[in-house]
Amino acid sequence: MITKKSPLVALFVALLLVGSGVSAETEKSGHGWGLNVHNHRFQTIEKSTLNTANVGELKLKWVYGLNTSAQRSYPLVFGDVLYIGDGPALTAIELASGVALWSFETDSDVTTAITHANVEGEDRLFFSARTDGVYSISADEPRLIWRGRTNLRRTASYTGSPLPIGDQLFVPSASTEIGLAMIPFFGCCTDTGAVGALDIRTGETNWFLRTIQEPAKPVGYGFLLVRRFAPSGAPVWGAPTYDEKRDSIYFGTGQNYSLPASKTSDAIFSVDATSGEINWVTQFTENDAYNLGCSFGPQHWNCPDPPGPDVDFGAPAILYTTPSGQEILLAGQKSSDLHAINPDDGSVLWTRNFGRGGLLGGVHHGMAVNPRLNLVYVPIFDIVTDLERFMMEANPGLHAVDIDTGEVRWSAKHETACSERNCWPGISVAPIANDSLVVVGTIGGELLVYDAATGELLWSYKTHQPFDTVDEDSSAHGGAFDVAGALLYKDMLIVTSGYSSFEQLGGNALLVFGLDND
Amino acid sequence: MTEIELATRWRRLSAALIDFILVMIAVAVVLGTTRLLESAEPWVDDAVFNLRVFLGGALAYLILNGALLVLRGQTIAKFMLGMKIVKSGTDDRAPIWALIVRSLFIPPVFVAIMFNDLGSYIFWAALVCYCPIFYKHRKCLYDYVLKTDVIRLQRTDTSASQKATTQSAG
Repeated sequence: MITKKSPLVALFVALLLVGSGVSAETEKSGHGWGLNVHNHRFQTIEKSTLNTANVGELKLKWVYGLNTSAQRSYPLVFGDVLYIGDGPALTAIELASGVALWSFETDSDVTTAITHANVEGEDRLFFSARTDGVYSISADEPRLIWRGRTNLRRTASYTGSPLPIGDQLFVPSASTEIGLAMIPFFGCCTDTGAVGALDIRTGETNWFLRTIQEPAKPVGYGFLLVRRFAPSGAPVWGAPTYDEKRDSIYFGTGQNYSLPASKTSDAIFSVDATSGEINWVTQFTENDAYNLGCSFGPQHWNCPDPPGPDVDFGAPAILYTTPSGQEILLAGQKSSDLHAINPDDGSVLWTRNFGRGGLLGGVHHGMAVNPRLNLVYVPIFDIVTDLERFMMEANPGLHAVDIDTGEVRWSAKHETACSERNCWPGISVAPIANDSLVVVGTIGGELLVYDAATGELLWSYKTHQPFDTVDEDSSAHGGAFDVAGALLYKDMLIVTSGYSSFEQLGGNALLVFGLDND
Repeated sequence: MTEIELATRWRRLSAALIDFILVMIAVAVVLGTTRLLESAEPWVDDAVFNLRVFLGGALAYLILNGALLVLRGQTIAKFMLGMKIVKSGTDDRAPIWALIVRSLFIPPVFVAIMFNDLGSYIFWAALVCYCPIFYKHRKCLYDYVLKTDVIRLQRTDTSASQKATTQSAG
């Protein structure tokens, strides 16, 4: 390739790569949560060799028992090593064998995708832990380089994956006040979602943007003399999306935690990546205020009156260019709506509804695209949460949607789940696609691989079972598929099974499937 | 010589339960009205949380029982069930400092029930303090340390001295 042309050209390109912070030699599975900066969750043929012809030959290669029953972290393969959040630690695992190489301990659970960047000639990993903030560590050894926080309030929580771009690291954050609101002695709520840009070398803050600029003020009383505050909430749960043409990042927000609501909840933001200035904000659901106090009923002291439908944007937005050259921002909402947005000004090109949505419903954690087929894969989770939505038509499952028109090309319904409790219908986990396949999993623990073009089910595997692990001292059991989903890399399908945060089927299995190359 | 009757274990246990329920309610009211836990700070810092709940618990206990303790050596439940905290071997009200120290054994239990590791240690420590009640002297550990007894007030002799009859303990 380059080296065959001229040693001088090779040297020049190598210097360029080093200068731009790209590691020239070591292969990796992708860039952050979305595998690329546009959050496509799509693997090219060069990155993933599984296809419709060979996927039926997938075999379980090895299993690792994670130190959590509610895995949120999304793995990264860099070179011969798989990195993944392992409860309150990041663990490096030999990809070929499943043997743990080392662990780096954190104060709280690692909750995000593991991302990589070459900084100042060193391969570094970036990830967030739920209440700690973001870490930068060496990819070669368990060595901390820096640790930082964007939102300095201690109620901040970090579940949206950080995104390294150039010399900046974009870090989204939410707020634990959504849960604290269950406690009547707590005066809900004053904290907000936010995104910060940190210097990727040092962790120092370049800019910090709250999703609600107005400070919360007392707005009434809850339990006895405990006050309520607003506006609050509008958390950023998902990874940002980068637009190199506009030097902007996009991210979605969740609902307000208290009333009166802000104009920035359940919205998509466009923000200048260099300055942190807002380009535009498009709100899709007004006056949506909800917190977990409402799980005790609308009469709870901290539950907004009236409680909103809780239809966040939890899934990262996807920046996509159609075959005709039109740029579109695709945003999936918990209302089960898919929105196509003009990235220039935030105007809505089209919206399509896929079902009922609600608290844990609709498009929950993510979507994927296939540029060759011009399809976006929209998973719909369907939990009935209120009478109004109960009367709407249910549509749980995976839907392949033409990005130009918004028309459904195929649907794979998941009306039924399993016989155990909380096996809700539909797909909550974020899908991943490659050139010919799309992979999802059910809350009942079944891993499913579809033909990307037709929706034909090509391969499935029931993971709600005990597994033998590489390490004889640990055990593993599969459970619900939720949150981050699978990773396709080379001839492998890598996935974690088990998620118990909302009483789904817990589990701690990191499963690596592969083709038999013997 | 004054004759006293130690309160039975069941009566003391019943009083403890009643006091505990009343204090819990009072603590809720105190914590709500004083807004001690309104901000996020105590919910993200165990030390701040423990301190504020303890203070709220102690304040609630004193509001509820302070006057009765000082005037008669009784909590509300002990008043209802006819008992009194006295200086050991006498029917004189126990010293105020001893009553205050004894009162510390209720709020910590509230902390313990609410949350976190420290609370669970305090809870078990409090249980250990209660254990010697099953010994013949019917004293908790803090009764030995503070030299206090809990005696039964005679219903038939409520006037004047409220003398009691000595009874063999155990």
